[in-house]
Amino acid sequence: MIFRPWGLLDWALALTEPRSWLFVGAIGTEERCLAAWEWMRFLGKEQGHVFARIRDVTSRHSELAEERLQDRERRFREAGGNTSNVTDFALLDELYRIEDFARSIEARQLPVLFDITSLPKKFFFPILRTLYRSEAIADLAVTYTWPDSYEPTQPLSEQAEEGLHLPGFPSQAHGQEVLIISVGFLAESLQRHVGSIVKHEAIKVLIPFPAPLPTLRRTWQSVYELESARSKAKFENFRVDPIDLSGAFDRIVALGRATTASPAFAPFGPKPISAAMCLYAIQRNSAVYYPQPKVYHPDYSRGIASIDGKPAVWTYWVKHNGARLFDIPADAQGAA
Amino acid sequence: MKYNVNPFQELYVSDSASSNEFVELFSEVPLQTAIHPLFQEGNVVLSGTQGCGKTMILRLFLAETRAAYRTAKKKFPIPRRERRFISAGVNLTKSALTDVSQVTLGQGDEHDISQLPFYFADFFNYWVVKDLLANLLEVGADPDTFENLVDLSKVDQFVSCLVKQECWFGALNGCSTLDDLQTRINDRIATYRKWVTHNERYVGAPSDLRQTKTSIGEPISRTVECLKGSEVIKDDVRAYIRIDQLEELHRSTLPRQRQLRLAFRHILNRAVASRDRRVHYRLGTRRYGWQDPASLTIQGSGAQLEARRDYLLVDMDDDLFRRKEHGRRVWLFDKFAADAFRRRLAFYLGGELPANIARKVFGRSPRPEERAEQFATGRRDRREMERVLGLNDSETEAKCWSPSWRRWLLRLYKQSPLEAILAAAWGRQTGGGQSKSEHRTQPPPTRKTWAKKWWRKERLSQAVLQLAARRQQRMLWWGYADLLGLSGGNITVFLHLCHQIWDLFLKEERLKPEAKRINPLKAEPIPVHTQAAGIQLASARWYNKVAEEPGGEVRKRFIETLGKTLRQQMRGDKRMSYPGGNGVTLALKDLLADRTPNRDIWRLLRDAVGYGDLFAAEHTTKNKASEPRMKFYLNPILSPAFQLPVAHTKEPLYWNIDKIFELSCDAELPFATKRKHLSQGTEGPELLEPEDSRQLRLFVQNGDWRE
Repeated sequence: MIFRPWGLLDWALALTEPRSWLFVGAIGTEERCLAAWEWMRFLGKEQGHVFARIRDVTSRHSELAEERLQDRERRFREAGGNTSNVTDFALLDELYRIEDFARSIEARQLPVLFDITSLPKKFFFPILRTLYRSEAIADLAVTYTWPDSYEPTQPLSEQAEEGLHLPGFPSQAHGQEVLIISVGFLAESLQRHVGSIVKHEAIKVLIPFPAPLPTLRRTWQSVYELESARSKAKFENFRVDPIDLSGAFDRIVALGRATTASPAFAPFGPKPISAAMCLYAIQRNSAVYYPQPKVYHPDYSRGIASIDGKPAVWTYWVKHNGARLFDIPADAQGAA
Repeated sequence: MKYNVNPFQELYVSDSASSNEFVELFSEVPLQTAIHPLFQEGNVVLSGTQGCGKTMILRLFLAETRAAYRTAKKKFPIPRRERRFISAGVNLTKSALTDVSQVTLGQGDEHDISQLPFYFADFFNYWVVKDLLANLLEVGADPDTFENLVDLSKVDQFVSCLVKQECWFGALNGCSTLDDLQTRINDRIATYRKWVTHNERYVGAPSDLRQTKTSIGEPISRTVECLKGSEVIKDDVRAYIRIDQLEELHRSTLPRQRQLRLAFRHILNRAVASRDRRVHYRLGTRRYGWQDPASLTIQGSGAQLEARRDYLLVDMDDDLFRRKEHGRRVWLFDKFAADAFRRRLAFYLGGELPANIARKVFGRSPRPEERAEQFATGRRDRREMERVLGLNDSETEAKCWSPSWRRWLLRLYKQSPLEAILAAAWGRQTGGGQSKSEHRTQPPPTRKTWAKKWWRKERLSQAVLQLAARRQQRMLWWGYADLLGLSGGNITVFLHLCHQIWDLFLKEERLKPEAKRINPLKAEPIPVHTQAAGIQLASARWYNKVAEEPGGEVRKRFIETLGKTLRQQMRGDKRMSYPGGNGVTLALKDLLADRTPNRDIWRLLRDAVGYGDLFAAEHTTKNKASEPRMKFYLNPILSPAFQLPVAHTKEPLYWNIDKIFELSCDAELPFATKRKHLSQGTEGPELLEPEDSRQLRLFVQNGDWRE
């Protein structure tokens, strides 16, 4: 049994001998995008920072998105951020550009605090893959900030891409797959893709629980939409704590161990569960099915949640002194 | 009967059914017209909106499907003389072939765009040959099922022949057995996958790929040639190559990817254009995946693929299932739906069922007069009746109705509210021709034939709509004919309707004592109110499903705005001057004009038709100019959600592009947002959606662009 520490940022970073971190994150439209970085600077643990600034495609939200982005940039500069450390991306940029960005981080050979809060999966999956596999990165922690609330009524994202899998994570060339889905708010494109990819005897659904009531309602709506047009016998539901990356990973390992088929993932749920899927997928070259939305609502979330007066920046140790904490146990490696 | 099983629960059976389920559920009805071109020589493009049954038909090419028919002791639904084939397939998405656009050769975008398509072609070749060999072994291992199609004893000669072919540039040198060959091919595919997924780091392309790139289609043809030359298969055996998800190459986002994917498509076109008699391509695509002429260019020559000459287009929606204006004697979809329904019931609930079981279970659909009966209840005092007829909607309106007209209309209302609504509309009309005065300026008619037969018939649906709206009630649908009409020729929509109705039916029946339960297996009909509620729910759910497809959220906003506008128009048209107002028509020259916003609007409408949100048909104006136009209607399944009639009666509304643009602005569509930025003098963010370099028509037939 591997102990994988996780908790609020100050607690998690204080668990080991002090070190300075290279912070890697994204400047986005949401207020929470800078929370982890600001707190880390406040703790005096920063050795440098690298940010991605990612723009959506034109939409009805473009004006508001640009306004929000400028607000965040202003705050970034005021908090001491260096704009020359910001790389611009289009949301749908090719994988090789994201890989180049990941390798430039790797080349710094520093402990990395990787904030996935505002990074789309298309970006954080390949970056996490590079950082996890790299011998040059001995210490790696992932952070994720809880918002105060989510946009309550409007769609959180729109115009999902036509592609089926996340670039860099295609389907297995041959053999059966067991599909593990984490559900969240984005029910529509999940519907379409499950319709296209399901050739599985069973689908394992990871349902975030416990969760706030509005989140719970939308999540169960997604589950209902997903399961109502298909045979109930195909689904098996599992409750997973939405912030417990380690617990989600263990659940996935257990599911992988119980089947001879290759696990494949559809990460539509909370980011920590997606990160757990990513950490598993990169070790078994699993497929990750996720149609990248082209547009996010500028107010996808509002504010930053607070726990005992501290910002809710959850921090997960992934590598410590060169030890990889999320390696799949040998008895659960499977055939792939 | 089992009251806990919904036979329509598994809606997307083509994706998920096992081969055994497939045998039981597959309906052979659509094969009547598709089978001929699909199992003959030549290239075929099978196009259709999602859920039309395309995937089910393409599964007939799989060896496992044919084996399942034998296991189930069922007759394989392809004539014996057409069964002599081997096949291979590639799904452009699942195989990661399209991910070649995610890598760079490191010498700039221009170099990538000119060179990466050759890697795509090579990846494609190896993938198809790998699948062809797998199919060969599967077929060869079961000579009884496949009637000795493959002779595996001669495989070594085949390998020896294939390895010598120049098309491989030595990449297969040293392979002496089929195992060697498969390993070499699998290794090459693995190298591609590692490269395009960035699982392994390369500077430029992997060197072993760089030196030995094969030409599109050639290794596949040579493989078939060697199979025949070595007598592993006989000369009369055909090789079919299926290419799925061609729409994946239809459009992209960023300029580099867009150009690359278009180049991939062009290089695939080269394989199709070669009209190589050794292999026959079967391309499955949704409608929008094939209709863009910019995609039809052939790499190298710059020429275009030509229908009939290079390929045959089978449009499942149009050729097989669309109800023709002047009527086939038997509507194929009717038979298809009835057969699919019977098979579902038989498979999940058991029993021998008659062919017309669906008709019995859902019963007869109502005539408009019967449909209106549900709104005939309630108060019938003078005030209420006048309100329903809209006689006092405004002061001006109130003055138009003489006491004698009011008395006549109210008397009529007491007999039939629907008749009264029609009569009030007739009173508001002038009678056409030179007449300028409305009928209501004259005394009310004394004869029963106050309106002509066709005038009345064409307005019945609109009258029902207005009556329901005025009575603040919903229009309802039920009966087998309504189900067919709402399905719009799409089998998945039909099954979706059945699913929702059956769900409600089971909920109701489970509450009853066993002795009182209805048994549809004994042809006992499902109650009308259950059907109506199920249909309403199914429509609402299908409307939500619009958002599930690519770009669906945007189209859903447009559909919502359009649907509400049409409803408002039909409801507010008290004269019933536009009974065909559940659709709109636009001049073709405006749609095809190469300027903004026409280009964007055309793309929007085309996509909406491709994804099945809208139905479209070309027609001409009735005036002397005979101007070509295109009419658009909501998919009929959306009619209950928007409370619009299904039937397409009379002329649709004549709109211009500005009206559609106005709706696009209301719906906050991306191109309308961009145009707003420009008109305000602000640049706004860059539009990342492609702009077609050429305009195109919606339908292609006989080699030219027309319906």
